[in-house]
Amino acid sequence: MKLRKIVSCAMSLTVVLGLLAGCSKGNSATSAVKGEEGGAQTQTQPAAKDVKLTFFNTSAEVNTVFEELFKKYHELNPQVTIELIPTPIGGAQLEKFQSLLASGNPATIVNLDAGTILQYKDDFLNLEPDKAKYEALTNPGAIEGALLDGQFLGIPWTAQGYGLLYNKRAVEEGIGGAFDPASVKTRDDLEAVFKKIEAAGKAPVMVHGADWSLGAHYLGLAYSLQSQKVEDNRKFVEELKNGQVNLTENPQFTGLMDTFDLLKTYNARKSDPLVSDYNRDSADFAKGDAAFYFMGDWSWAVIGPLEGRDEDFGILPLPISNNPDDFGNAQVAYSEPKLFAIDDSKSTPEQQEAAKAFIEWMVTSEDGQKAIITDMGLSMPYKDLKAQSTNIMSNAVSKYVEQGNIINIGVINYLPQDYWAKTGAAMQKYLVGNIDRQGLAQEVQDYWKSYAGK
Amino acid sequence: MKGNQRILSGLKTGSLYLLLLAFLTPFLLIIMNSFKTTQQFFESPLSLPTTINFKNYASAFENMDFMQGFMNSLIITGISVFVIIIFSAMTGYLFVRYKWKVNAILFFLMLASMALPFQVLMIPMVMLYGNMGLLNTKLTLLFMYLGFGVPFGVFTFHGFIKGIPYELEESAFIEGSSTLRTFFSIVLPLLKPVFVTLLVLDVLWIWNDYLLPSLVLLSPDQKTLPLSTYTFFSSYSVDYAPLMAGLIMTIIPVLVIYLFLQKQIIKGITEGALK
Amino acid sequence: MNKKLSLKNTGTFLVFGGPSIFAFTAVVIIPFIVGLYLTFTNWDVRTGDSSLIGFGNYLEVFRDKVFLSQLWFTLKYVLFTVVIANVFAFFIALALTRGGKGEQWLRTGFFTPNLVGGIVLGYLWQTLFSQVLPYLGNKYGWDLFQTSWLTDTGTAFWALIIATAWQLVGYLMIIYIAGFTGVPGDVLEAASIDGAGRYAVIRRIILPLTVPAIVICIFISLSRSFLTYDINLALTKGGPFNSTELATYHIVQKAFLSNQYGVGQAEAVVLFAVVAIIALTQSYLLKKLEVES
Repeated sequence: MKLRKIVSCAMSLTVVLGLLAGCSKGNSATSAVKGEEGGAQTQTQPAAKDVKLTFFNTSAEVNTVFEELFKKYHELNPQVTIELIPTPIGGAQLEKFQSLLASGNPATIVNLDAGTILQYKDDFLNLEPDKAKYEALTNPGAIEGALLDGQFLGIPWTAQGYGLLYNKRAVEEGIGGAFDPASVKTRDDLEAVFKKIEAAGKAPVMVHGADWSLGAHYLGLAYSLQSQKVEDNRKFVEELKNGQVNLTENPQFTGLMDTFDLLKTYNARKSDPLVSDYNRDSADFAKGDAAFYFMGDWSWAVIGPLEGRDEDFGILPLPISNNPDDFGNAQVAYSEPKLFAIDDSKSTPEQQEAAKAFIEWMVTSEDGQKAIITDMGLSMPYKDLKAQSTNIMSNAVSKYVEQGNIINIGVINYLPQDYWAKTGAAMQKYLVGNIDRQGLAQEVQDYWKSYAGK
Repeated sequence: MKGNQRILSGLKTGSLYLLLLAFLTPFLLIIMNSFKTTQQFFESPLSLPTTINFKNYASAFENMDFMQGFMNSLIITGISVFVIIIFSAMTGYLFVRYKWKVNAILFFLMLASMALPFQVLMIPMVMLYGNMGLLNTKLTLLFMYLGFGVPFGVFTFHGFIKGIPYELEESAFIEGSSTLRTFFSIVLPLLKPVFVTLLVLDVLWIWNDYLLPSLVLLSPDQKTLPLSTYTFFSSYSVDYAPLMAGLIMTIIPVLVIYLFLQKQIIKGITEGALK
Repeated sequence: MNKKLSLKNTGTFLVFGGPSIFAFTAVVIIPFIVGLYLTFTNWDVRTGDSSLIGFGNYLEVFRDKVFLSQLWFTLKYVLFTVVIANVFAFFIALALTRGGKGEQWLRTGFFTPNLVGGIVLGYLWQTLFSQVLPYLGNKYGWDLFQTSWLTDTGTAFWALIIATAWQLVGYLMIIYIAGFTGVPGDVLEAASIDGAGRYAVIRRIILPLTVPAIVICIFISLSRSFLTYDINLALTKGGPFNSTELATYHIVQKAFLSNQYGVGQAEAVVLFAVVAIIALTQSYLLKKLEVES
């Protein structure tokens, strides 16, 4: 009897122990392998010329366009196969990325937010040797803007701007005449326009109530408006973390929030501000149900193919004060939000070389540029483009870029990954009147203080 | 009196059907809107489609790579459900009939594991299996489904086997039948009702599961249907029209299985009651 | 003799339990132990480094006021979901075990919500709550639906419960139907006839006879609603302003978005302890009830 028990216990124990041993072996092997594996695999790789790359994409809305590009590239270079690792909605993207990394199967190429690349900088290839080449290919400042802590880790491929988009027909019907965007230089100017539009029976402005729009794009401006230099903005965030900033006394923050109060008053979604259906908000704006829309040129992906939309759109800087000369009143926010980066934790040198060649092909070839500009409707910060953009909004943004009238929002690359979700929630509370200005400032400050010293 | 009762029972049936209608409204809405464009859906989600347009179905079929996803889902669901049911029936039997301490402990662990948030296991799991180079094959996924499916299977069979009188097996043992043969020839047939119920529940779980295959299957040709459905979800928005068509196409196979087995379930249940 | 018997028993154990116990151990137990180990480290996926830091992560859990309030929120959500889903499932099952006409179709109908997975289900209800119902509310002037239920802290809570219960009811109904097959037909008949004796029949006869089914159903609904993640993600994304974040959702955010993996994992362990204690206690109590009655 007793023996039976002991034997069965021992049996199950051996199973468990055997497994544990197997696992821990696997574990210690990988931690050591990190450096070696490249070398170990180079011995086997050269024989087989075929290279397989994986591509982790966080711009899920253009998955299919990328897949087409992979196919095309494979036809041109039969030895290179590229596989897409698609990502699901929202936060699950990061889960997937982290689980790939943790499992030792990172994607060869990633299309990630610049800020995320910085967080995982040790896992990505330093592209310093290619920097000069890309500087020659891109618009002035494009590479400079993509540097993370001074390092060239990701190749910029798209640029986005945001501010107050306007629907020309809707605005002109509202004010009863031609609309000159240059006439709006201050908050009061904007309010006058809003008043006229409302008097004409139209909704003046669409405020999208999602946390990413409010937290990253709207409130995010508070950090970028502090100075034209990203360095100074980073210092400001450090001061926030250390609790040295009182936001209610910060002119940029209060100016920004005064304008927010204005948008709030004239919001087309006033009755239920947090519904925030991106497709629907964009479509309603494009059809003139709202004259202005706080959003960026990426919304063209939804607006462009829409049936029955209006034809002419433009962008205005978001005025944050009544002094036309204040920084921000004549500038639109502009950045290179996504970068292509190459894995340096598990990929072989062959894969890395192939990845570099493929990325270069994507951003320089006619096929690649057409896919990005025409099919994705995005703008590229590159010279001598071989495709014409139909994205009216990014063309409008480009005008500001050419004149140098931009707010460099590069500081957001250095913010923690959850800043938009957490401060976005505070903004949502403010939008529905759940907290007042003081309460908002307090919540935002508290969030930053939780990162003190990190 | 009798008339009154008939009215009452009529009322009750009526309210049951009303409740059912409320239950099914979301589905009716998807079916209706799967024939419209996304824009029409926004403008009037409740109106009947003006034309029966299969464009969404065609584009969903193509974008999802439906056939490939379907085959992958079929293989994975079919094999893992079969394996889960057989092995958990056997283990359930072991736990009921052999009251060893190790069995009691294991049964308790399995019960407790049903309260385990999957997120606790996620990272360690991909770490272990990834580092052993075992990711990206259907086999690993099947194995994992077995591991995750066993607790509920054992739990269900355990309760049922407890109710089976031991005399039946005893007589078989006296005739010299081995444990394995006794189990398959005498116990297993009695388990049919649970078998079918578990089959349906496990098929639904695995057919619709998203997170686990998304972690284990990395390359696109391995994608199951739920993974392909995500073609229509982008970072900020959802392309509703083809999504709804895709959903319906994903649901139909399980609905067919369910309708087919529905009769079996009821038959099984009544048989169980007769015993 | 003894030796032979134990050998035989080991054989039985391996044949009957081997494959499933091996898979269970390899897939659940060992990753759990590794996960438990990680909660005592400052492991970070970004660097892959880890060193032991003792109970630091657990201290952090109890300092995380948001997590504690969300645990409380989760408890409320679970309580309502379990009660509502079980009551509905019980009575629907009771009404559908009389062999009446169309019973099969009704059963199928009530079960259909289980044909879709959690994320899809969440999106379905999200569309319903944020598009369809407000559309109706505005058209017919129903105050209750004029604004989306998902943008208000109070109604979003109920939206979450409705969506979860909607799916659970059909699932539990099946188990209750199976449970009722142990109840003699004439008793069920008596329960279905309206009148003074009806509820007495249900309470005194049917309930005690279906205790095993009730134990299973409550256990399942408890663990399922405690672990709700997909529906939460797709329906409310934790909003408005993080007010409807269930515990699992918070854990995922903490671990993957805020990059505090150790703390997130420790919170998951705490959650596991809470769920396990509640689920096992209720099973134990109800089982005792079963024996006594």
